Amino acid sequence: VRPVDRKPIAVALAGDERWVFVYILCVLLISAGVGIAVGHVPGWMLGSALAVTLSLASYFMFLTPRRRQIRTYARWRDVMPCYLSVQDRDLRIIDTNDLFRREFGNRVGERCFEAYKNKDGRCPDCPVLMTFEDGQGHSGEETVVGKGGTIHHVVVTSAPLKDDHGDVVAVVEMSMDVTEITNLRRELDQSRRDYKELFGSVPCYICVLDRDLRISEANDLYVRGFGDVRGSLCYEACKGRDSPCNDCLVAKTFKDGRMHTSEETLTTRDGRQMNLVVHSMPVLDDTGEVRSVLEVFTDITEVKNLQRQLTLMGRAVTGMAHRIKNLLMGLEGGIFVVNTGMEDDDKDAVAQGWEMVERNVNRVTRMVKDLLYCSKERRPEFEEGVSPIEIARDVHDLYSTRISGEGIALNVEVEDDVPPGFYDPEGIHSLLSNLVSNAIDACRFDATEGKESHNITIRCLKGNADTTVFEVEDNGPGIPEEDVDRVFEDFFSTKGTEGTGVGLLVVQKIAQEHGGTVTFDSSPGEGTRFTVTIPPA
Amino acid sequence: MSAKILIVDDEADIRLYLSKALEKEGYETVVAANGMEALEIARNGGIDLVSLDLEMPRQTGTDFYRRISKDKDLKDIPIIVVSGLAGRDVALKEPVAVFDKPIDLDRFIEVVEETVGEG
Repeated sequence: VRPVDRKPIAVALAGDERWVFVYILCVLLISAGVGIAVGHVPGWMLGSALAVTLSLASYFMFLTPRRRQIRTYARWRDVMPCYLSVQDRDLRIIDTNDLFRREFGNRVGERCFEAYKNKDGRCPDCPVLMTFEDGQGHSGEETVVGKGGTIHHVVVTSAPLKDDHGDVVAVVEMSMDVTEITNLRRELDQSRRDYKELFGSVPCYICVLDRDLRISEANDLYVRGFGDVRGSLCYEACKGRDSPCNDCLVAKTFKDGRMHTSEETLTTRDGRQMNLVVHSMPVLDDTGEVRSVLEVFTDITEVKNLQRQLTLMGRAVTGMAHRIKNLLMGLEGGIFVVNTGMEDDDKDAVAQGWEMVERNVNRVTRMVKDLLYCSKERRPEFEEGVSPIEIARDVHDLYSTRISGEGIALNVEVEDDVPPGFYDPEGIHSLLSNLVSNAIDACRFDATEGKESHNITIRCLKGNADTTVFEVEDNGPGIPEEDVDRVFEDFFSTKGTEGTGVGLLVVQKIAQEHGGTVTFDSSPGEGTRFTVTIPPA
Repeated sequence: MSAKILIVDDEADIRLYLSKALEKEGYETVVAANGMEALEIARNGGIDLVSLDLEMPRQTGTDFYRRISKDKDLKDIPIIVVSGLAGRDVALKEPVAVFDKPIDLDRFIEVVEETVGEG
């Protein structure tokens, strides 16, 4: 410890020292007086010696605490790892340590807040002032500015310097530089915020699970989807089970510290079924042990839907190919019969062959038309004064001749007061034709035992609220229960020769173009009724 | 005596086409619109060859094949598959031949001749 200048501190306490010296002087004078009054030299000398002894003793007796304080201060001032300053009641700096001088320069005589806090007035909650007030130590956090303008974050602790009466005459302000720690804390806070934001904004359902499979954290999306399940057991809260799932990914990750993936179906709290890809990822502690597991769920319901659509599309293409092959073979057959008839000069055969060609060309035309209905190419052509009854009758007449002799009875029932209206006549014709074609195919394919005959009824009725209702009812095999949900989805049927294969899509599209709806009732083995309801234009 | 060929297809035009083509070659033909009808005709006897479509109402070609395979009198009747279905090649155990639609008529006649002799 190098020698230090104690003077400034002594000055700080000088007020008290004066009174001590006055006291000592008084003792000396009294002792001298006593000696002179007694009148003999040895007594005078004895009195003086006694007085000097007493004064020295009282000097040390009275000054020891103060000196000790100054000594302690002086001893530690320059070894303390903090900026140290002593301030008076005006917050004027009386003394500083080396570290303080190095960082802030020689500021003795300046007011603390001007000297290194870059302020015009006292800081709120100034610990130094509080210590002057109550004589106790105080602390707080402050920002101070170094010589080069460097900002330092400091934790300030104040301690009183008291005189012999216990009054606070100066305060030591010790400022511990915590800039590094503060910066680290800020970085930590920032990365926490970033992490939170990321956690919240990722379009995935994320939760953090502990070893007991208890959810400790969940992001906003997860909470929105599955409720606030934090604190609950994963398998209870999200999977409605009372024991962990077999093949639990999280358990696997806890065991081997690796990422695992699977596909799951979960139900959200609003009852929506979701297809999810699940990844379980380890969160490691300092020692590399798996502390918790992050479970990330990505919603692939849309992808699954697309996959299903693609599968259906594939089936549609296959079905279409099958149908086109039959049409081509029918056409080739027609050409063969025409050629043979011509070779043999058999007019009947030529006529028969032409009929075959015409029939198959018509089927190709209908198929192309229906496909166009399904695509966006065809725009509906609405007309005023179209009679839905007439269209129903036309379709009935068209198919009656076509299926004559097949043991299928086609009937038409209309309510005469169904008024003409604003329809796309060709569209409605196609709609009914498709429903009737499907019904014919259904009856042809019906292998229900004991069914003697088949009936198909086309109806055109007046519905509620001025709606027009078309119905096509058959007593065919009905739609098997397992297919009921897919009736409008499975958009190409390979069965039957009457329908074009895309019939129900066409029906749905035309009904929608008229603002209407399509529904159906079906009993397996007994038949099916399709109902199209079209609101008034 | 010319061979008797059973043509099974739910498409009337295809039935007509094949029967005309075979009759032109001198074969006798008989037609059925589905498996059930075909089985009835086959049970009546005298069928030397079957031209069989697969996808048909009431009873498919595969159903028909399964049934005649179990019938000791009918199980040896040779079958030619004529179908546009994707799985036509594997639908039957041992068909004489499998034709995609529309058929190569010359090749079809050739196979018929190889199987039952000229008409």
